[in-house]
Amino acid sequence: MGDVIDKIIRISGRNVNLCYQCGMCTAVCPMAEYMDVKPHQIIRMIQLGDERVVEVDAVWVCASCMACVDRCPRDVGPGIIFEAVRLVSLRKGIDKIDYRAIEDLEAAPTLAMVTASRKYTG
Amino acid sequence: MGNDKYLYFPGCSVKRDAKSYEKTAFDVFGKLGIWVKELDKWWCCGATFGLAVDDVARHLGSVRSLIQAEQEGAQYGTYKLLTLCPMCYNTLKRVNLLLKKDPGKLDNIRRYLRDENLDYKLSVEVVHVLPVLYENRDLIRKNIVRNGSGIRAAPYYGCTPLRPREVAVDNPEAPSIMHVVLESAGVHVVDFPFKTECCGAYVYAYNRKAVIGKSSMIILGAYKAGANVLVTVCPLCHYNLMLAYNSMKNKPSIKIIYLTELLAYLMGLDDNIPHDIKSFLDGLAPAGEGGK
Repeated sequence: MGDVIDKIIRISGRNVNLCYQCGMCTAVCPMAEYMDVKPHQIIRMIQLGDERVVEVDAVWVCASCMACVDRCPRDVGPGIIFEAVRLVSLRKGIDKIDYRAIEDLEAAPTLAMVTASRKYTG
Repeated sequence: MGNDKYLYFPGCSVKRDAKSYEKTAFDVFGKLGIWVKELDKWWCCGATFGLAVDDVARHLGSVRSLIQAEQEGAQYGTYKLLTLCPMCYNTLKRVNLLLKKDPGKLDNIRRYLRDENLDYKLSVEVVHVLPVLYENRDLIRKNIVRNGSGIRAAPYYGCTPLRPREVAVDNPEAPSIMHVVLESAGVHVVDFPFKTECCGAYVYAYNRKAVIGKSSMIILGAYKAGANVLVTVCPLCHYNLMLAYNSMKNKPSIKIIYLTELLAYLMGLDDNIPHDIKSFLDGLAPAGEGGK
């Protein structure tokens, strides 16, 4: 396994090898229809050591709603692992949003700004 | 019931963007005789719980507020820390749970705080407003002064009061406590399939189309089930739902309101209810009851 995959596994604290690809996470994910790679497929990429997982757009569409984490029959916790994938980029200082590009920034309430800052900036 | 005592953590939203949520909540608490004391000092909870195992520093804001609650708890005789915002609830509750379950994390946090002579002894219990209102449902029923039979309210829980299940205020798959509170308040309760579906949360900043899609589905789901009021307890859900509603070409006749705004209205506590909500609810009153 490469460094990136090791890091994802280490900081997520989860065991991706428990996943048997049942697809429950994708079935219950409210954002799956907007994802390029579906939740169970992201987990499969990590199982196979595919470092391209850090380029997957879907981890940024994940809303951390915990629907998959609560229902995973193997307690893999996909939604927790996706945070680890995001952090691989964010901890290198690669931000995912540019505040100047957010439409109606002035109208966004504090809570929206704080949550987005926590999830999309390093 | 009615003699509960709580310390109160407000958080950013209810002080700026959801003022009527807090003000109507306090009007309702006052009427029900629920004693609520705002913390003398509080810190941003962080709004989202840090999920990585090595992200301990992200929990510090929440820990500082828990310590503040512990100190004030000794003074006021209650260690229950109440929140209105469910994102604050979720974050504070999960940090509290993490420290209770994981002594290593607690040690880590203690090392951060040692220089400040602060310690946390795990005595605080984080509580959301939903179960508090549920426990006081009989008292709510006794204090209703308006006829709410024209109001068809769809309770929308969203994510953070229910997931992960360790912090759920009710059965996370089939919650009913907001249903019961609304029933006690005399309105017609409309169950709908998306009551626990995510509104899209912070993703509005990255993929607005997805958030508008999700939130539109929730609004239309409630509307098609027969609701004329969609009831939320979350300022971020409220923002996303309004974003979706305002983007609709054909706007359904349904109003997105905070639970406590509706309760205050039904209890005749009108001072802090926004005008547009008051007039919308007046319009739903049965004939001869001050409405149409």
